[in-house]
Amino acid sequence: MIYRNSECCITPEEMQCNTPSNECCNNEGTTPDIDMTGTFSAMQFAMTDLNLYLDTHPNDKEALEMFNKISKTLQSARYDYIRKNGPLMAGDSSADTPFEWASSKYKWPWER
Amino acid sequence: MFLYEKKLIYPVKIKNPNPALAKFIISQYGGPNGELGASLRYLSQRFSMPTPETKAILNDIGNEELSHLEMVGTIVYQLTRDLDSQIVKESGFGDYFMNHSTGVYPANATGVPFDATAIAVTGDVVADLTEDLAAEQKARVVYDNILRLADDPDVRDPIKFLREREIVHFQRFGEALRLIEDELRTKVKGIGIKK
Repeated sequence: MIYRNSECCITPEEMQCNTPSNECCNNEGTTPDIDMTGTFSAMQFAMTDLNLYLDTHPNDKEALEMFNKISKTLQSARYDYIRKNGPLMAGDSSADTPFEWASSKYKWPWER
Repeated sequence: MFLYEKKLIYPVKIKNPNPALAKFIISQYGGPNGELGASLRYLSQRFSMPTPETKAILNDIGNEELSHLEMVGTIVYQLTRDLDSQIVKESGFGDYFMNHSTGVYPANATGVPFDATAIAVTGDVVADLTEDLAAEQKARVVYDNILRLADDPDVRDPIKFLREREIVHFQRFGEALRLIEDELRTKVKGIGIKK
């Protein structure tokens, strides 16, 4: 399953596709086609998006359930990510020197 | 307090340099409709928001914009790796290169540095949220224009992600504004029909 944001836009359709060319609004849609299934990034993104939705719909039980469900499993996905890609935060570094956070072993996000 | 995670909010992996495109895209880093302005605008406006929903949405969207700023900076950085002098001269990137080399500087596509006059903080919830709605649409237009000029799928993919987020943010700001209007109707005499 590819995570898709169903809450895309309630404004008139032309709000999304009001450009003279259909270059940017063709059948590729507005959703990027990278499959982030089951990954830490996909879960984080789902949390970010649900967070915004819940900010303006604080009484939506179904959305909050989904948010809590992802939140529960996020921690183990985070550990898996760190095991594979190195520390996400300085405190995730191993106990050994050289300091893992700043070591060249793990590239910065813009270098990847 | 802000904490940093050593990852991008959405992956950027550009294989081929394209300094001409980098010069266009830098506008979403430091231009008037860019991500730096967006994050500063919302994170500054949030302090004077009057309701739980408006405080939360400005805080959280402002926070997300910082991650988008990092993505745009990454796109510019990766598009300007491994350049030779010939391509710098021929691509139109030379004007930027003269002062910044391949550093990532907050400026618009014509080189004008970031200016806080691109944002407003009025202390008025209706005025601020209305500005935010326009800001999201203006940012969406710039991403549309980038997509008109960019052929490289490595660039188009993260740009499409950023464009979609503008639309989602527009949606959320619209909801926040409607919530405020409903609240004002119940509280302020003469503004509308009391619920």
